Amino acid sequence: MDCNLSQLLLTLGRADRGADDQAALDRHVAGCAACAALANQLSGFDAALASAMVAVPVPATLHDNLLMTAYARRGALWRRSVYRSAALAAGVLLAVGLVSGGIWRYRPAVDTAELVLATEQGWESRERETAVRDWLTKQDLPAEFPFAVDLDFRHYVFHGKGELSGRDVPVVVFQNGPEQARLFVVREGQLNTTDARGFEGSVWKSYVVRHPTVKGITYVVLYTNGLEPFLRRPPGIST
Amino acid sequence: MGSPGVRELIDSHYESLYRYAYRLSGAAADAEDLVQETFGKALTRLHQLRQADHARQWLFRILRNAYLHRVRDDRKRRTVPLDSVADVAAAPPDEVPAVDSNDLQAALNDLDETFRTPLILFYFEDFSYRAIAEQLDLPIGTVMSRLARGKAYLRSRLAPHEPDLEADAPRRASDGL
Repeated sequence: MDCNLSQLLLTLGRADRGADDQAALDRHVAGCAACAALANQLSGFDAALASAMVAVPVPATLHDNLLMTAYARRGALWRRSVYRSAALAAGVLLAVGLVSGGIWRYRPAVDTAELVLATEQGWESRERETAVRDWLTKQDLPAEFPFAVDLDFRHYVFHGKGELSGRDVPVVVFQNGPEQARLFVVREGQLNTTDARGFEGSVWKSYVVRHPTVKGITYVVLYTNGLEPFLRRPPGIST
Repeated sequence: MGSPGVRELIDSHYESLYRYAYRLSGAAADAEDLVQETFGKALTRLHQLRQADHARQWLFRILRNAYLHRVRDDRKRRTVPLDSVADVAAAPPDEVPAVDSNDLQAALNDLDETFRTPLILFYFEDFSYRAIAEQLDLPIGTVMSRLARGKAYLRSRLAPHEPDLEADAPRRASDGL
């Protein structure tokens, strides 16, 4: 190592230099009076500078001030956290209250007029009619009855299986006061309807209608006073 | 080792942080504000400190960032540029002068922050070149260069036997790295 490199390293001061470099520098300084003098001067200056650098009087009140501020901040942070949680809970409660109040306030009132009008307009009967037609369709039977009249399903009371000549066959029952009509739907394979005809008793009567377009389907109608009591009429006209 | 509490942090580091802040800012009031701000931020970020033995560097970094944030918009701050300062002082003073703390602060105040901070960290205990480089996110070569030039400047200001360096006042705080 020569003096130039030695002086450069010395001027840099303490550094993270390797052990070999440090040993070479130490050897050079030990044998060179000029570099040794420089090393002493620089290290002395460094020491003086380091001493002066930390020679800063710390205010006596600083420690307590820092602690007080830190505790106050920590308290504020804690309170802020609590307030935030409380605000969140209050918000949730308010929302639940508003929703509950809204549900309670705006729940529907009983409207008898609407009920009567809806019934008169046949809303309920249309649901029944639809149910009966769906039921017939599911059994591969015609959904429509082959009558030249419009049956009012407000008088419908039952659909299911009913006994006819010892066989259970589909039947739809209407009733209006004392009057009743039972509509049996017969497949050709179930009963022989070739010679079936209408018949009148003292109270009950019957007649037979074959479906005009669907072959093999016959309707046997058992009634007390014809289909007249079960026909649809304009709203406001009672039977 | 787990994260220390606020009290432990303050007890262990407030003095060195204050001195650091004072040397950075050059004013006692600013230094105290910086230390308060540092512990305030540390309190809210305490969960980030995983190991207690990293607390010192962590706090110094917070303080330095707080200081930089304050001075970033202060473009009127007067600093001494270092373009004309040699990388290494040609000749040190024959005798080692006693360095006055106030004179040192005056010299530091005139330095650009890019030179002042490495110098201050260097003369605080436990900050090696590598630690300073990590602290400032700089290559270690840059740190060494800035330190050499900063020290040369301080010698020129604080040692009256070097008229050349005093006469050539540095012009710009750029070490070219």
